[in-house]
Amino acid sequence: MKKKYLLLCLLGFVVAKAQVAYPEIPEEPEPPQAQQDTLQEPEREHIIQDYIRLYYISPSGVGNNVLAKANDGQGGFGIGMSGYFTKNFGIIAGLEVTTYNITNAAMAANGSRTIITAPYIGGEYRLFLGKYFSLNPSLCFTANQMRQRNSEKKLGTYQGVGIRAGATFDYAIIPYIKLFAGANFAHIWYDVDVAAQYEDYYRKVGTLNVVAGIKLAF
Amino acid sequence: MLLQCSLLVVSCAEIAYESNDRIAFEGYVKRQDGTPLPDIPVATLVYLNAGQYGDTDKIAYTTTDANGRYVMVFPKPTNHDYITLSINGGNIYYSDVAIPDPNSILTQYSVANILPDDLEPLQIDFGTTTLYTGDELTTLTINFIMDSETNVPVTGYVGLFPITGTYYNLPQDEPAPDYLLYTSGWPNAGALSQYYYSPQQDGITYSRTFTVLKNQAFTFKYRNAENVETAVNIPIANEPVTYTINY
Repeated sequence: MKKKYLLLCLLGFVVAKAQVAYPEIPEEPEPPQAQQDTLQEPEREHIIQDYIRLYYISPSGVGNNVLAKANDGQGGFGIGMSGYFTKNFGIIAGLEVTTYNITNAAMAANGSRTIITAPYIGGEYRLFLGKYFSLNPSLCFTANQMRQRNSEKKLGTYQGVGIRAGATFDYAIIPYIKLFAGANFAHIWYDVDVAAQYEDYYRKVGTLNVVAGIKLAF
Repeated sequence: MLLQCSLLVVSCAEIAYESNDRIAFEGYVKRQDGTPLPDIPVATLVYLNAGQYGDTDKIAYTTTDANGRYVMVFPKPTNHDYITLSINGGNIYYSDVAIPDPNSILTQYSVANILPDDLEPLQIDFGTTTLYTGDELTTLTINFIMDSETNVPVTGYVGLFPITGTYYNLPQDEPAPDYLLYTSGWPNAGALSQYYYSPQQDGITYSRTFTVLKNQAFTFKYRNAENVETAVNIPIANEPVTYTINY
């Protein structure tokens, strides 16, 4: 929970910094009319449309399922790419790896941690908010693998597919680098054979990942 | 060299969990009068080639809730030999026979030899297990005095019922080893319990002591090599009982 507060503070810091501390860009002399037309849209921060993103993840389970009730989210990382076909629409793809500590040896296993690997691909919309900010809602499909293990061996591996909705809030610190923070919620269906009364507990898993990181243009 | 390689391979045997199945063990733990027993430790132990080069996992553990109920839903092992359920077992990690905790006032109970085929329904309900305190129990000692003219292996059957020990989930088509003690319990509560004696030497006394419930009519059945069964009734009150059988 502390990590989420830190991330929210980071997000607030980015916003505050942009509103209060970020120096105004000195106005340049107006170019001739022909050149001005070509530079008006998009703004300089938005010209670069393809990014690599690297980010930290604070994961948590949501709902009444094995991840939410028998595990405690610890941390993770993500790496991804985004490419835009237009100024506002693009695709994103990447990989997220998150870890949880097992807290219930009866319902998960007598192990130490759960590791979830989730490649994803989907679409993203970019809503510009002034010269430096954008809000980026996205919808993705994921292919999940949940591994339970202790220090010596794996204690069960389960495959699943999911759908993920989320958004990031981006701040362009310089034309080629953005800081971002956000969150995504995923609903994952795992392939687990278990007695009927426990099916929902193990098959239908929800996660809420709070993310923060950097996007680098290429 | 070949032996060394073989030992290396055997010593590396490790229990694996490579299926997408989960197995549910559940049940209740109560007193003799039906009062639920909360906070009783319950564990699931998995064994592969149990012995010097084997592997053992305590794959799940929990404690009973306020209603005496326990539930464990654990990953299904895919190469194990058998599983043991332990209730109030204390430190039994490396043994298939539960060792009583000297500090516990309650008896312990375990179900050994739960085989891979037993897991196919993905769920086993062990029903209600009753634990007892020391003041509800006494001892029964049975002495066999071996006769030199009938020096034969003897199989003994115990009726109601030894309290502590291990219920051994014996497959129908397998002969019982001679060192096991059977107590009644899952899956056939109240079924006859069994134990076996090895062949004895002429004229010696073989003695065995069981912890049993006070104030019960104890029926002991035994069978000789000619498969002739004899039943004796042994009344048990509040004091320890010694019963001698000559044959």
